[in-house]
Amino acid sequence: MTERGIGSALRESVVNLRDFDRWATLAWIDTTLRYRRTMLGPWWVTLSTGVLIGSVGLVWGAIFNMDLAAYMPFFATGIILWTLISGSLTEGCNVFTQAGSLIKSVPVPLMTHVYRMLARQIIILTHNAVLIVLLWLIFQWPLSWSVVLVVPGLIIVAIALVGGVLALGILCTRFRDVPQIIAAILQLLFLLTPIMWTSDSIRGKAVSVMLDINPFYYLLEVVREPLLGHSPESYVWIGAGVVSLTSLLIGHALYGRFRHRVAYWL
Amino acid sequence: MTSITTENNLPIVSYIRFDHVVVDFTIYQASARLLKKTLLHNAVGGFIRTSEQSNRVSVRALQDINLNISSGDRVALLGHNGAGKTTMLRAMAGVYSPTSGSVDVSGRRMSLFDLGLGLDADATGYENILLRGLIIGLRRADIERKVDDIVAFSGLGDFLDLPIRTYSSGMMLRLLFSIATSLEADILLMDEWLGMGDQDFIVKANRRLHDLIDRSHILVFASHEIALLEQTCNRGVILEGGRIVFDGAVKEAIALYSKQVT
Repeated sequence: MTERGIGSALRESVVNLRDFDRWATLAWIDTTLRYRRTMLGPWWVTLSTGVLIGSVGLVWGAIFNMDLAAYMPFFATGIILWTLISGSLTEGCNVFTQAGSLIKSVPVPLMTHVYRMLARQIIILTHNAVLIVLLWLIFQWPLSWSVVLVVPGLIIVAIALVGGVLALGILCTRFRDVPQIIAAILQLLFLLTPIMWTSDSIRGKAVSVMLDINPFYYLLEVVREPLLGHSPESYVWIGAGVVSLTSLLIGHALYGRFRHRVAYWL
Repeated sequence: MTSITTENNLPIVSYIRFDHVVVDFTIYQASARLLKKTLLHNAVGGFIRTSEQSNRVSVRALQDINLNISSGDRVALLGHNGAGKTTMLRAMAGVYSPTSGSVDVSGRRMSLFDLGLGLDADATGYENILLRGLIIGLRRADIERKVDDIVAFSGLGDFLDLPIRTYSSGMMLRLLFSIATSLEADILLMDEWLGMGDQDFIVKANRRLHDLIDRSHILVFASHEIALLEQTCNRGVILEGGRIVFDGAVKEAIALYSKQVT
């Protein structure tokens, strides 16, 4: 009765994914509860990201001497995607520890907690996405048919996040130092990933190796490029695909192997 | 064995089977060195073991449990604090999968361990009904069918539109109890009795709980309240240090257990 393989983990993942109604409703209730008694509700997310994009965009645009019409959309799309990725991974560290009393009382598949948390992140993303629309209305950068590539791009990112959150959730439940390490790494990666600065500024220099080995770079590019009106180059697709698939496999291998231990580690 | 017919007209038989079940907890933060000297059978708790190599402490909460519970059984779990009652209930609930051995369960299980499970103080009574239902694995449609019953039984009326942090403790108990007992289950797992609230509600609550138990196929009930156990159960299992030391008629179990205690 205790299946341990990666196959059974993947199967469980898919079965729980179909339970959309349940985890999406939970995520929605979580979100409304979090902002209950505030006037703006979840639009607080939009407002605070908006202020960040406006102020940082102006200052850094001036520092780099860049055209605001080019820099603002670039920074806005980058930071919004980064919020999704880093938010998911940070919360992913606590996804099982936070649900501790639940996990110890009812045998609900652990995947439910993962999807519930990711759905919350997607709700935040949706609220932030309004800003991209607003910015487009202001700057009207040229978009082409390639904008539809956002969809496969986001699917690739979502798959990478499911795997990453599973792996982190399990590791962080067992080793309580990991969340601190992850927080530090994410902080560092925010600066090392082209979000505030463009990749062109280091292309051709030796440090550009940093881009090639940075998994987050590919995940950002695969969504950001279509949003900015470009079609991602093939190395971006391949890079993002490899990152996503690796993450999915590692996450599910760990999940298959250790899901029955999680209750004991809590 | 009584077989019971479900809505689909498939006769089903509920059972819980433990085959050489061992449950070990590894305590990661305890200092093994400190505990090494206190390696002994304590008055309470399971058996604490340390391993020289790994510097880890592990507690054997259940040791080699063989148990067969079938439809119609109303099992009283008796034992000192830390004898393994809760661990055993959790293993039955499917929360802990055994370190070795196997647990085989057939039938819809419902555990009534933590009434406040998954509730949110800022959410309204209605929202909490939904939250709780979703968390234990129901779909929205299933929950919506139960809402009227929960509303009627709790007697909270319009208060259900208010956040539950505004409830008095009695009102809170009414809601928690009504939600927890609104679901049908083949196997009921209970850690302590749930009857509570003001005098009126206790009578109502006890009746509802008895109905729920009567409709279930199996009850496993851990408690220290001897009178309640004797009244509800027909079989008694005594746990001691993670082992079953007695399994038989509830009257004998209680007599034996009472003798041990005094």
